[in-house]
Amino acid sequence: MTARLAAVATAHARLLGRRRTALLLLALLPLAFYGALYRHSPHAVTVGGVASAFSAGGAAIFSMLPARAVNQRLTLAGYRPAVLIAGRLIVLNAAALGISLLTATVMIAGIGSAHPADVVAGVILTGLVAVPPAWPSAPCSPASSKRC
Amino acid sequence: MLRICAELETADTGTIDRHAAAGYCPQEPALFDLLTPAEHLALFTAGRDHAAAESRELLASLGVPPGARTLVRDLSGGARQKLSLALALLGQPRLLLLDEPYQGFDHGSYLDFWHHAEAWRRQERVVVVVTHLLTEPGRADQVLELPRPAERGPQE
Repeated sequence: MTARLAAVATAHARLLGRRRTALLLLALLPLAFYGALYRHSPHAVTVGGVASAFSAGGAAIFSMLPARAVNQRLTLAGYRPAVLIAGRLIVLNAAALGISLLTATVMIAGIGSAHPADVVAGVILTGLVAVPPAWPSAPCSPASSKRC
Repeated sequence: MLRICAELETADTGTIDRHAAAGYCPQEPALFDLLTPAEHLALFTAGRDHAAAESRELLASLGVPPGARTLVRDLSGGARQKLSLALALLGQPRLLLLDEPYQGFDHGSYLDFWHHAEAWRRQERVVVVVTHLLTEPGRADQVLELPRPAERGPQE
């Protein structure tokens, strides 16, 4: 169980890590939103946080799409759908955490917030909720209505 | 039909009664484009003792270097199909469901495939091959020709 969970997480980490351009764009997206607004709007931090959620969701799509067909083969190879979901969630949440931390760091540097912990917590939570179990869902075995 | 036999889809009518473990090789190799063959083997054999060595031998016997660092997206169509076939063979399933398994193979690989199929049959494994290209029907124990959908009756 643990070996299989680690194998799924490792595979998805490799898949995401090898999409360097996409990852770079996803990391820059919230910074671009924040950068465009921070001199002109009091809501720049909020918009940047929401944009980090867009990025986390985008990473989930990049992870989900290529896995749809392979998941069925993995279930035939003995993988439980829960392991496939959990392995992918570990990687996606780690990616969301990384993007959110980067975004929050730049925001704090930009506005000199008196409550940096609140900004970090807010942006991280916004990023993490963009990767619910529904996002990484892809059919594993339509015959048994299992999903992973 | 093979997807139904592999329990990846449900049949509209009728039932499938399968007792042996099945290995399924789809027509379109369902692989991760950004992983190498070795990384696929590691993923598919995780948590199974002795499977890593078996998988490396299997891949080498099919003509794909198991240590190659080439990503699947950079492999030829034939090499992808061989990797897909190797993944279907992992765990030595008694029933092999192979959908156009030699798509993209050159003639030598095609002949190699049938030599392997004969070896699997000698190991008392059942090999089901769906293909539109069977130049040597004598290699199969039984050949079933499925009618085109337009030629089927309404209840078939």
